[in-house]
Amino acid sequence: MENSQIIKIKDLVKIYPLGARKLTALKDINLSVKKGEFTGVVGPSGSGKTTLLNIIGALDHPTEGYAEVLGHKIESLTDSKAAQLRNQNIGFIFQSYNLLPIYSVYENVELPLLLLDMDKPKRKEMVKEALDWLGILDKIDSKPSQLSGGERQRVSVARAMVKRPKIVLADEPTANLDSENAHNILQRMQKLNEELKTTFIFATHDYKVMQYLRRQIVLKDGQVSEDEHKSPDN
Amino acid sequence: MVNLKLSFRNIRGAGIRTWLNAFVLSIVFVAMIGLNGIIVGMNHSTVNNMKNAIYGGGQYWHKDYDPYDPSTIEKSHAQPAEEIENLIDEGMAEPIMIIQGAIYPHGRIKNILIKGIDPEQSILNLPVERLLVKTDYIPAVIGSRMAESSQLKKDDIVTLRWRDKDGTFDAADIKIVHIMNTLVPAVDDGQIWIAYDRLQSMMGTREHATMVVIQQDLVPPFECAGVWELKSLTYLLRDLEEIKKIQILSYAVMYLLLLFMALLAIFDTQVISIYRRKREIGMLMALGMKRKNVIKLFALEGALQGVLSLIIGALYATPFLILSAKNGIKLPESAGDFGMAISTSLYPVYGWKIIAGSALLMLVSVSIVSYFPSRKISNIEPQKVLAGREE
Repeated sequence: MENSQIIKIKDLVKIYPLGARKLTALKDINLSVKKGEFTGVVGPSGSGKTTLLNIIGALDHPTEGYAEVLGHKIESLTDSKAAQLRNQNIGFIFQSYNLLPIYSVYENVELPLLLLDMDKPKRKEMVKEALDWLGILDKIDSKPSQLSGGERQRVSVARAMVKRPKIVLADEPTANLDSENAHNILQRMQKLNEELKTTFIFATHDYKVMQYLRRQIVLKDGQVSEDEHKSPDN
Repeated sequence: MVNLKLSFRNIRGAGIRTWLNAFVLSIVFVAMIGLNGIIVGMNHSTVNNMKNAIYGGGQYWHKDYDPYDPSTIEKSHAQPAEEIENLIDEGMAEPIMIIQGAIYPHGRIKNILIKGIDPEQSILNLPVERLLVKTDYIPAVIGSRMAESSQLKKDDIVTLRWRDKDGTFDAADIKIVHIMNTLVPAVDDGQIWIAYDRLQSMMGTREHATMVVIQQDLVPPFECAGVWELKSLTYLLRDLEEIKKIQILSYAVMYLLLLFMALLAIFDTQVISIYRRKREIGMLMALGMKRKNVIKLFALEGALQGVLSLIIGALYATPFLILSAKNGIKLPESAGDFGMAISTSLYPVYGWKIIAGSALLMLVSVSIVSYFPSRKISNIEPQKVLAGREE
């Protein structure tokens, strides 16, 4: 089970209609991801990284081909089933954090647990634990506007991790962070990956992130041009 | 439950926007109850005044009497039937005789109705005890409207002409011993009140009446007796009921306008809110909230503003409504000129049905208006709004 494939993608194509034209965002993608991987989809802007992450996160559907995430076929998932899959198994980290400004740090991190209909004492315990992992327990009552960029992204990671998802999808998580904050965040994510065996998939073109990845799937013009596994020592 | 919790959190977090919306809605809610209370109070007051002044608990009319046909008045009087006499003897009914006549104030002729009533009666709330005053003339009481239209003042002496039971014209001077300020035009306009016994002697009749008014709390014991027919309160108040229907219709238009304006504000807020919170919507979907639940969440936020407006309205309006119901609302002196028997102080009546009905109407309308813009959420694609690609 440790090495089982939790994501399988075969001959995946994604085409967006652009008026009369069509834009091929992904073409003939074939890959699989095992449980516990710390992997990244890398490539320049417009290479299809976010599109691939969106399909893995069941936020989008493939135009052709096959994508299976945790045993669910994405192309045939209903809106409701896709929401259920994300709710129970997938955490998202966004470049612009997407924290709710009117909620406190506690309330932002608690949100995924509320959607899981968890009882209050359990929610409280898990939120505190997640904030503790990310070293921001002292900011529990702050509003996002009172936090620095690094702290906001740590709240965003805590929100993604709090429900202990099987997969975390991080879209350019360090793009708005300085070098020190970026390393700090990445080290914490790496630690969580090791301790909780959560699968992390990044979409990035940031060299700082690439340093931490144990596998790099390079996308170029919507196609996988390279799939490189690095040893833990590298 | 999750939606409820989140919508509470969201409307609390929206701060001043929530309070402003709820306050505007609360004004409409209070205005709806207030206006309704005033209408009900006005009608209540009118009915009570009419019952006190002339209708009592109903009336027995001579079968020929038609207040809208003056030609019937001359012959529509007789001695009350024995059953009615018994009620009169027991103090549970009061006979009134009505005949036609004319007065000559300031050299002009004015046709009037002469009404005879026992000055010692206690069934109607009319100041006819003033007719007991000793004077060389026939004492008469008139209402303020009559005094104004005929330019008569207290202690004025004016010639009265009438025809007795045989049709012979007769005349005498009357003295205005009192001018009553009545709220009921039906006992005022174009009429004078004189003592019942005096009218009998003027007419050459013995205990004749045109109508017999029944005591207010007495259920009329029979439908008809001889030439006498019962006119129930429902019959007597039928014109008032028609006026009420028209009033309700005109106030309903006002409610709808008020409600429409408030709902327009809510609709607008919802549309703007959904536009501004697209990223939040996308994020909630990414976290696994089902699309239909996001729609429910936004609709619920609108509905909760409705609930909040009811609470706010109840907080600031309850003391005012209680005070106005208890102490009344002072009306201008000219209020009685509107043609309805309205007191100078109006006592609004706020029934539970009005309050619950207005609250329910408000909640249902706000919920519907909040739901419609929220349906737009079903078109939002979370991956686009999260990437900032959808405006």
